[in-house]
Amino acid sequence: MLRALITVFYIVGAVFSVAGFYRPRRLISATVVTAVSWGLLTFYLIHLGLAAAELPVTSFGTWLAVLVWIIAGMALMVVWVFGGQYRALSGFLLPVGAVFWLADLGVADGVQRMPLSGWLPLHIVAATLAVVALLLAAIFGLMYTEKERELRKKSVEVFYYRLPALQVMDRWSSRLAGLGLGLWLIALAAGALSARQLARPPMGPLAAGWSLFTAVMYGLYFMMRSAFGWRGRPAAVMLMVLFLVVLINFLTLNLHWIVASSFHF
Amino acid sequence: MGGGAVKLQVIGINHVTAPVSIREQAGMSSEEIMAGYRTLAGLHSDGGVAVLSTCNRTEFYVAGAATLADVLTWWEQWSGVERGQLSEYLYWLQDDQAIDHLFRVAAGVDSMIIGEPEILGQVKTAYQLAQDGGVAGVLHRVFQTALRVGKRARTETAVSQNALSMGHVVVELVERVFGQVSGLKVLILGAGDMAGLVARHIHSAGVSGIQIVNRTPSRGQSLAKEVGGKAYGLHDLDGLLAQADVIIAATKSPEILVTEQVARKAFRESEHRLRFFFDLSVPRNIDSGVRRSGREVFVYDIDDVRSVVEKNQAERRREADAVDRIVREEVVQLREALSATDIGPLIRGLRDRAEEIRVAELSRVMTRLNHLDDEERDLIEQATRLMINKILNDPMVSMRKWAARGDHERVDMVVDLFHLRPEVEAKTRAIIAEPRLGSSG
Repeated sequence: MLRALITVFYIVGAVFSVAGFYRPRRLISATVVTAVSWGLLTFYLIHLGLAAAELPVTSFGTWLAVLVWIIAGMALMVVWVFGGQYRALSGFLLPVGAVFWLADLGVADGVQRMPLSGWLPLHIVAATLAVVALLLAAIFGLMYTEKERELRKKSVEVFYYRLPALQVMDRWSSRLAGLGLGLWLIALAAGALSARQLARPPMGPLAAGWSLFTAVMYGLYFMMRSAFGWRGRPAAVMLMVLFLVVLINFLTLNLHWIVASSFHF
Repeated sequence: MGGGAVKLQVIGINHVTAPVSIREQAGMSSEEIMAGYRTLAGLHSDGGVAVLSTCNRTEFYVAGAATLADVLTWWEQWSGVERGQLSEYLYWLQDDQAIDHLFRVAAGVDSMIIGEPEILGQVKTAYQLAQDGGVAGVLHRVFQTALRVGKRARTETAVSQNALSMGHVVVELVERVFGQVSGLKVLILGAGDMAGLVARHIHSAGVSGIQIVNRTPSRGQSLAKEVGGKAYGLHDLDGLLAQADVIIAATKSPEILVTEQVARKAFRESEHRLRFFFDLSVPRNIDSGVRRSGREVFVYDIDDVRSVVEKNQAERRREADAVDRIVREEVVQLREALSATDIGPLIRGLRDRAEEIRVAELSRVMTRLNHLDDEERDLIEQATRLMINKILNDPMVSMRKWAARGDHERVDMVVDLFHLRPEVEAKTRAIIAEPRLGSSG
């Protein structure tokens, strides 16, 4: 019942936030509905944590719920703290969060108790925050390409009016990618140390290898920026593609590992 | 005195109803308005008056027992324009309609350019003059609310955002591409009127060190001095191009000044850098192929800039709906505040009854007058509305006087006489039965 309520409120919030591009006053409704869904999600996560006497990140399903909780929280924070043209960010962020939540409904597996000891908590926290930062970087990239497309077509419509300046979005995407890469490297290091303790990588060798590949690809992005002066559309498109690489890591390889090993996280 | 116990009306002309030849005659300067306030002290004795006179409108806001004829007489004396000249351009609105009108004016949605910022200052000035002349009276509260509506419209909606002139749109586009404009390198080709206009807009937006390139260096120097920039000759163009973020061409040169080849050469070292070209010249001075000279190069000619102006206008019109919601909300609030101690419900009930009859009878007649065109139908519509206003004007003035004197019997009689709606009747009876602060009854 609670999950159904969260689903309804979250999706309505996402729909209203997209409608906010066309009718900015819809953003008020979007914020209220999203705040309700965020509150329900908080309650749900607390309930899961108390039921298992453990942080609700010890299974892939609950980890996704936490990720959605952070995304909704970020969307609310952006609206309340930054406001202005940054409010439009929620119109991109919440639909992505909604997709994650629907994915979570598909893979929900409750809380499988697993001792969060050694380096594993740091690995999980750093990886989660890295995913959020890299998601935001990709979304700024997407926003850039949308606004740039309107300007290039010389037909200014909704994104011209609602989104921040191109150069500002380019800067934010680069900063967030830098932050995300830093956190990713911490997660990699913590994962490697954790693998020593567990005598295997936390999510299997394939995911570990792909994580390293992801880090190298983001490194390549920064090299292109600094060495070849990449800015604007090419850099924005690259960030979007790179986030797909991250998604492959989390939504495909991790799931593969869960199924293949019948081991939950 | 209780604000709601007094009738409020606005009589005026504006850019929609009157041509400029009439508006310029009927308009009044601040000095003339103040002189009018001094010489016609009788005008404010039982309510208040404020005159709003701009290049697009002249309006008299009058609270009290004054009739339309009184106001027209005052206007005639003040402006020297005979009322016969004005009559066909006039509008006359009362009570809620007058408040609604003032709020819309203050919010900028009744202006020729929707959302223009100047009108709020002009409303403020009109109110200030009335205060200084000691004639604002009960209009104080109405104007204070109007100023609040104006501020709300501009802060809660985007009605004043999005530029509507070429110069402003250039700055707006630059801001929406680059964000902060202060550190940008701006290169302007030309030093004529358009170049000067854009240079001043860019400079006032916070750009310093604007580079002016002109065929005649002395003319360029004069503009460069004005905007704190530096002037160059045409031969310096290639070198300056590589460093520029924003390039604006506004010359009378019949030839292309920036070719694709020149741009490619200039941008070879930084092809990913954002650059914006504005070609405001006719014939164009920037080759359209320049957009291929870098990955993030935009080239907008004068038609492209104009299309942004049109989109901005449409965007403002859309926002006007949101402003209307604010206006309606504030009118209701003010009406409730003013009605709390008066016979507002009775007046409104009577007016609503008359309006219902007017609309019903008119629609019945109109179905049989299919041959009339829209203009003729509007004329009939206006004439019937004016008739109703004139018929009700004197009874309403009398009712307000009775209510102000605490003459409940007569007010009660009106309720019975016109069989007003039960809820209006109940509310009015309850209000007039209560003792009023400051009333003799």
